[in-house]
Amino acid sequence: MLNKATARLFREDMKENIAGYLFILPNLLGVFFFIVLPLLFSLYLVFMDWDYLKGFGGLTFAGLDNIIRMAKDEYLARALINNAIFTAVTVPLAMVMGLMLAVVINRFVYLKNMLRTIFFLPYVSSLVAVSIVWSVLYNSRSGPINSFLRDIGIENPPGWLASPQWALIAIIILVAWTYIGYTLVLYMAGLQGIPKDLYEAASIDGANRTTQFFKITVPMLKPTSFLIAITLIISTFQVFAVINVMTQGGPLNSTMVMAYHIYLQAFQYYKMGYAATLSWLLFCMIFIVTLVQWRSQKKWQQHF
Amino acid sequence: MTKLRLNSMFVKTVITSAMLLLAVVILSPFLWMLSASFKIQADVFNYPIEWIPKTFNLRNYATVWGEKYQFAQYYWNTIKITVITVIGSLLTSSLAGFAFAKLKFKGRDVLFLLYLATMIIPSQILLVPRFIVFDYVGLVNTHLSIILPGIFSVIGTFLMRQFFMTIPGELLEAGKVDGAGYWRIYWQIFIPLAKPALVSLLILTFTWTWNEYENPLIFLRDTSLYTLPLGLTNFVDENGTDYTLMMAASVSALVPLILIVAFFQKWFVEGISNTGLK
Amino acid sequence: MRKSMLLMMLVGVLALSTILSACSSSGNGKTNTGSNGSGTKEQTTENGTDKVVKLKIWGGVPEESGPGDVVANWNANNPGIQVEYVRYVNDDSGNTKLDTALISSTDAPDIFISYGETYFNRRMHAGMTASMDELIQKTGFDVEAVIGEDNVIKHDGQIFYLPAMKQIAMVLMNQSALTSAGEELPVDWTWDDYVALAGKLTTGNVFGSFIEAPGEILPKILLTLSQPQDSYYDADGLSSFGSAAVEKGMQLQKQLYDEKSMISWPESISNNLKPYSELFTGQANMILGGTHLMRYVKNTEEFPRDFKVAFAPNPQFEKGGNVNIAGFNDLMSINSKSANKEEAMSFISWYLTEGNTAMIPGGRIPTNKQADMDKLVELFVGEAEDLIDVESLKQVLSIDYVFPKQVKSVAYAELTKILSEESEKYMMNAQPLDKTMERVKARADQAIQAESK
Repeated sequence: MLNKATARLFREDMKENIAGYLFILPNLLGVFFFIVLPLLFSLYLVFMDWDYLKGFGGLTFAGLDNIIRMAKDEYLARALINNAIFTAVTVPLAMVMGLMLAVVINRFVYLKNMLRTIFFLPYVSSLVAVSIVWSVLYNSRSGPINSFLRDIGIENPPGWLASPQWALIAIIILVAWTYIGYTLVLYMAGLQGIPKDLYEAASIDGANRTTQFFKITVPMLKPTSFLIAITLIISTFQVFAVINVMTQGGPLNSTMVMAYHIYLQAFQYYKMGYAATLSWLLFCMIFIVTLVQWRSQKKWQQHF
Repeated sequence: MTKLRLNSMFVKTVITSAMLLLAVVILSPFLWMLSASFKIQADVFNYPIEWIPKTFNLRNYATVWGEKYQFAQYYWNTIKITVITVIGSLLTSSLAGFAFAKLKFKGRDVLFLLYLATMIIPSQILLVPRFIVFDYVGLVNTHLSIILPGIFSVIGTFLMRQFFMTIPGELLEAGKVDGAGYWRIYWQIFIPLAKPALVSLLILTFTWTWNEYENPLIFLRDTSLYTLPLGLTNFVDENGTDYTLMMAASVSALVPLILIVAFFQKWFVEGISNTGLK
Repeated sequence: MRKSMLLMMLVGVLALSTILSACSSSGNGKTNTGSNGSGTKEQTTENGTDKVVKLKIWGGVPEESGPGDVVANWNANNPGIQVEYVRYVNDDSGNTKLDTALISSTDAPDIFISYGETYFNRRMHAGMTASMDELIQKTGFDVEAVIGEDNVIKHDGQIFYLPAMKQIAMVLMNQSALTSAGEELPVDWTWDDYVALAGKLTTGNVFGSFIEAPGEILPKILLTLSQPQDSYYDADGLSSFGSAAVEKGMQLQKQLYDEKSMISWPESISNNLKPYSELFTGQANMILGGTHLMRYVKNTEEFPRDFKVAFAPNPQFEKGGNVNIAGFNDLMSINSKSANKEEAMSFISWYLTEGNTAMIPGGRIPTNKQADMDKLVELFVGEAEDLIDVESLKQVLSIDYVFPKQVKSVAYAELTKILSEESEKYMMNAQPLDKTMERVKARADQAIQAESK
């Protein structure tokens, strides 16, 4: 009796196993072919020198040359620093702005949907098109932004994209502008999930709005903040389109970032091995940052 | 002691007006782009800014949409790639997400963990090898080189799995008792329930694919295959200093999408916000 | 279990790659019907008997500035060899596209035109250019009579390209500005004179000069003028970047910025400024340009203007020199993997002897020695006589110039990059001159040694 039941259970199990594999198969194959395989190949490239124009015959073993080369690459340090600044400023900026707007729009205005949609538009717009528009707005000599600044009495407005001191800031402003829509929408959704009676209870206890904001709203939004932070950090670390369209890393390498450095090495200087090495470095960095964040927010882990 | 009541109608109107003003500021780059696209080069930087151009000059649009630049072709290419990618990714992601959430099979959890790990891989790491592999199998300079990697989406699988986790397992058991196969359970019970998650994925994949730049830049060569962002940068490369032309091209690339988003704003907003929640 | 998983993956990959290759071939099929696609293999026409060879040519000139006419002329007279022109933008990413097209197996060009030895050398060293000697013999093309053997640089005794254009660098000026400054059109002059004149031509908010950074910079130009043969390398095979000419070039260019005779380096780059539009829209009164700008000189629809353009010869390193920094260009090569090399050669030979005259109105002087200079000026000028100081143009074109020659190519692209990067630091006041000179030499030597190791 027992055996029969076990056998049936086993058959059921088998069926479910097979079904499971079949269901994930299409996706798994794609992931294997387009992610895992290229990943392994790029790991192999770390130890090779390759000018791909020469075909597979052009592959030569390089040992640790590519890794040693990183130490001598003066633009690498610059790119890493710029990446760090870019992420460290853009992400909090977009988050704070988005949160403030979300709180205000959520509770104190009419036309909620319309406003939300307007703030959301830059996020869904093509970054390439947006970069083209902003590069004209930033025109240092006669662009509208500087004309306006001169008009309100600033005699020497920033050089924006033409200035090594301002170029990265100009790009941060533009990217933050596109991300505000994203953070706003996620925070508004998060706000809906906070029970109203929490605020009522706090009100009765005499907590004012500021206290309520920091004691209730911010902590209750932690899962949302965590999600936003992770996704934005991952994407800001890979910033490419804006740089390629607006500055090509200049002036004086003030906007050189990892993704663009990798692109230059691979597709302009044809140093495939070195480009692969750099991209693994970028991966390690993202990995570490994500891990640290994960650890520090461990109690929210159940959300993933 | 009169306490300011933030919810009073008056205050609410004031705040709304302030927010509307802010909204105009946020939108001003788009407005400037639109007005500049009708101007002649000599007027483009006039100050105070002429938000409404003195003359509505359509020459820029005639050039952009003229024979030399195939903007209609770029649109068609982008639409084609986006539609195929969205459908494909909804299918493979919901299949895999369902299995990861609801079916028990050997190695499931390890496999899912590996999936998660690939989410933080920077796309640059894959670019070079993908280029080589695609070239080897003859995919470079075809739309498939953009579509295929988009269809097999890890993030999509993750989103769908998260959603299916929230659906009680009893539904699966009930289906089994009724004698339905796994395919029918997936297609007839779970997919109809998953609409919100599918909408999210649809919106995300749509925006990503539509705006994708780095992959097309590297994989596509013939201008007749270009997508919008690529066609746009190509246009700018050739007309580098003619700002009015650049703006007309940007308007041509942006406005249709903006209209779509405004029209389906509920979908977009809900789609994006659902990704953040269980 | 693990074994079966592996097996399953393997089978899956196999299945997928079959699907992929099937898809890709259908994908290519689609491309072929599109406007740009075409196979390199011979194709049989519908009627079955006549074989039509399709040739694909990649070049950087917009179709309407000549290539369109060239292709139409050829196709009308050669039904058996139909040519298709693909334009690529001659910048970094455009050249990358050409490179990747050359290695691709599906739609590689048969003939491609490289602009400048740097790009050409890359392609030659990667084995993409076919040796042309045998083909030249077969088609009976007379290199000496048409171009001159000396004007083609051979590699290992073989020809891998043939130049189709002779480019002449010159200075273009706003004649009205010159007149109102009370200055004569310079004839025999140096870069010191240029900088001085730029100062005089600077008025109000119009700059006296524009030179495109980082492509055409004075350190590089003066180096070329002082040493036309393999200018980047010294006698020991190391870099020549420590030379006085480079230092002088740095100082002169810096002087242009410091005296406000030229828009600042970063502004010119970040706003993507081009010499021709600076001159013709009245932003600058003098630019360094060349014959390739003729098509803009005549384009009054896009650049309406009320002044004549006058032409002065290439300023020299020292008075009495006759070096011209431009030279033979439009380097035509045949893809070593092309299936139709002979047909490609017959096109090239036609193009070099007569076909490229259709490029003259667009500003490209044929390399053909027999080209008639008067006729050429006539074609150049067209109907724009009242916008061009024809006499000065004739004068500049009639000089017998020495052109630079580049045989060595060790780390050439990297050296160019190093020179412009270090120049940028100096021009933007981020690094003093002595440090710049020190670094530019040290980095260049290092790059050469790394490459030749």
